Amino acid sequence: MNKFSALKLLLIILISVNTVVWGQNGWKAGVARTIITPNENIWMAGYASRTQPADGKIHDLWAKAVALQDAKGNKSLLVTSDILGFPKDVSDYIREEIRKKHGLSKAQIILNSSHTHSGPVLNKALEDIYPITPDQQAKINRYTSNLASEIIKLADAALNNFEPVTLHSANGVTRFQVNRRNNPANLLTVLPELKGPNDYAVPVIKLTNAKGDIKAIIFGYACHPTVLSGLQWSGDYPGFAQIELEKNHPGATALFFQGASGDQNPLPRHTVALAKQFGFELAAAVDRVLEEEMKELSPELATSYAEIDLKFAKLPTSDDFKAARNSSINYVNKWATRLENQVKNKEKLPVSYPYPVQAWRLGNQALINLAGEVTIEYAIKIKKIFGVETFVMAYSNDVMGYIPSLTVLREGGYEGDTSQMVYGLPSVWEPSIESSIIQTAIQVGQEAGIPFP
Amino acid sequence: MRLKYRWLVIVCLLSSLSLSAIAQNGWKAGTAKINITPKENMWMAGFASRTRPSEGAMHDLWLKALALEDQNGYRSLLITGDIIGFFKNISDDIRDQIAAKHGLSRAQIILNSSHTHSGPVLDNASLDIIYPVSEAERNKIMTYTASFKGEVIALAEMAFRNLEPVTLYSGNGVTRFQVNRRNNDVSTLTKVSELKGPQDYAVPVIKIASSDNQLKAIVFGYACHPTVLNGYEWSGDYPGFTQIALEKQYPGAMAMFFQGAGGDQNALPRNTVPLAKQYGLQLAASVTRVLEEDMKILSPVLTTSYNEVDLLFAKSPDKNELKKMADTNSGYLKVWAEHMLKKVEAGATFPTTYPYPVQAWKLGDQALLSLGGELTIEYSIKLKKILGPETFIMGYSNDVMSYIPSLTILKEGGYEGNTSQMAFGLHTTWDSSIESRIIETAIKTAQQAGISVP
Repeated sequence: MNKFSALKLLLIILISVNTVVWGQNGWKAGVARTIITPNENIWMAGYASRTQPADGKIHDLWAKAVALQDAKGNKSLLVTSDILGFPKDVSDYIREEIRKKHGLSKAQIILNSSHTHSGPVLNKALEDIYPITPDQQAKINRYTSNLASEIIKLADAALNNFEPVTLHSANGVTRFQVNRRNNPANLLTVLPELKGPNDYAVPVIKLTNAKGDIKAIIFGYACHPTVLSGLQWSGDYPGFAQIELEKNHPGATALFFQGASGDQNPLPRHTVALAKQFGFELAAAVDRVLEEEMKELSPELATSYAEIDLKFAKLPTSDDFKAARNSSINYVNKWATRLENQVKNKEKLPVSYPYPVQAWRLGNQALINLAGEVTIEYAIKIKKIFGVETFVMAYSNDVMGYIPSLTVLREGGYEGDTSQMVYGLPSVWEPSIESSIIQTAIQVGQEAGIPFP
Repeated sequence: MRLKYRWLVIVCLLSSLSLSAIAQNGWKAGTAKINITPKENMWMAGFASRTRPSEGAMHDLWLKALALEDQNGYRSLLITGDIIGFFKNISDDIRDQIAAKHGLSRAQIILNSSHTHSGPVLDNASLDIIYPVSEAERNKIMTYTASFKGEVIALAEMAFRNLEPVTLYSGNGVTRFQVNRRNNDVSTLTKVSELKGPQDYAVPVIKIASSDNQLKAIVFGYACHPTVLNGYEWSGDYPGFTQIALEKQYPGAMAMFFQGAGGDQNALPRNTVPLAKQYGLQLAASVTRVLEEDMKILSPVLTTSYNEVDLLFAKSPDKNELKKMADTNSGYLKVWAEHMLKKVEAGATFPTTYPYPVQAWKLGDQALLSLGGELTIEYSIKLKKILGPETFIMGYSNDVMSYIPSLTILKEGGYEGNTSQMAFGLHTTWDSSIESRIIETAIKTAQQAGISVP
């Protein structure tokens, strides 16, 4: 053996040793999934206009989980789900149980809801808008507590099944969402230009196992799953996208997370064929990302979490209640009755709401995770601050109301004003809302070691 | 039998009679397709930046034909192809021969090119200006062009030979992967929160079902340059991927893509194969949605109309201006100036007008306008304002002589308004009457075809 081949051999040995070490001290992941389609036909969430409960399904609803562990043993858990939103008490309960069982803090857990409008109503979520009988309410309560225990079991399954993986991330693009505040849906076919603001990004994380097979595809988009408004259970366009991706990548689990889509609708809408179209369009955008080169993420996980007090602009007065009681809108009457009773019972109306803001850093991939129906300007601003490749999730950990940008708040309308009553909140948010959230996002981002570019 | 039921029976009998009458006297359609992938590697069309011939195929290139016959035996022929353009020198020859063989007028024939930038160069005026081809490569182009013409004529015959009873449906879908390339900066695409128009997101679809209700053909369009790919493999670009996906999804059906007013519309981001696939699949998904929803059934009455309008050229550059341009420019602008200078010095005079084809078809109550050239999107928007948003607009049909800028683009200048004229080997820009002449002719042509102005 001459000197040159000896050197080559040494190099080969070094590379193999290095690979083995990397394999031991790299990322580990556990993936789990469970069907959450209700067994009984209960009320469907998201629209006040439905007049009867569900009567069948287009496809199953799912909750899915990815547990991650970095080279140093730091763990985190992402749960995605075909539901409208995790209300605070459900989310708090689930997160507390997972903390007790697995020692994960709130910073380490993300519970994201796709916000499908063809999923079941959960207890204490938008309760004033649905015409629900006591019998229906009992079904809703049963489903809600069952869902909570299913998700805790799902977390167990994911956290008990770690295997070595590599992580890659990148952003794709598609444009079936439309800013629903700034474009009239009825003129869509004759408008030569669609107004923003929009964020067309399709964030994607790929998990590959040691054999090189895709184990999970985590992807997002900022767009209301409101293509469908019928009476059959469905994940809406994200449901179709996940089914298509799992068909294209046998053995892989596809997990959809919702972005800052508070003011973004898929348009046109209201047919199953359109839900499929948009699902396939999103799947095609994800497949393109998977086929191109993605950024490999070093096995380093950092997480951070804060709850800030988002202030309400004012407390409702007796005149407000009187006006609301006389309104022709049912949920407005209910809002007045409930809040007035609270006042009469000497219960204090809240002056603020504890709003969760979270950051994860996976290698050098930044992920900012917000709660509520976050409007798109938050994603745009956060990406200006932390870079265009940042992933922004919303509808996570709690969905307490819309989270309007300052512009949307001041313009008013549904997302800035009237939706607050739909959510049973005492008043609109204070104008400090945007700066509070952005400032906190910067703080948790920095705590998780996310640099300004 | 009580009177009431007797009536019912009579009504039933009448309706079956009328159903069979429609089946006999309804639409007939014939389809045919032919693989036109060049057998040898040759120069690829669309980009001046390529420095060598093609290197194999990503997928095959196709020419496809749909022959139609209405209840009165009146016929028309639509041909679509994965090529850069049916230039006048090619199109006139093909249309004359098809017209003579099948007794058709130009009004009855549409030759639409997808405008893929991954197809072969065909013989035309811009050949020597934008492509740095050797004599050997030039010969390949001439040979391919000649055989291509023969293929189109043969294809037309096949389609007319295959006529069978069908039902026609139409509807518009939507997808949004195109971007107005003049008004949006590609380099900041991921950072902007709004895309500027004008744009037209429509996906026009015609469904042709055979008498046993099988999907026989899908004719569909989109207004967007097939310039995702700029490599060295033959490809139909995104429309190629769409047609492959639809033909896989609907076995036995032929999918035909036609290009719309995509002159100033690009698929963005671009330049990777996965992106071409993505857009192809997205377009296919939007077509499938239209096919799955209710479509308008088209009564079996076909009318067609065709005019050539003289588009006026602006003032031609003189010898001094050409000399100056040859001295101060590089690339195709320099080549163009030298080329034109030679012509002027040889005493050539430039034409003052160009015969621009404008065509209208009415299929039942579906209006379809077919225009020549690299039509910019404002034409589509304006024609739909005039004739209704459900109108189908084709560009890149029967002749591709240049870009067809809207008045706005002409006055803004830039590539589509100004310098592209040189890439096409034309001596100067269009004059300011271009938009009104085309729109006026389009209205006249539409009315001749019986299309009502709503």
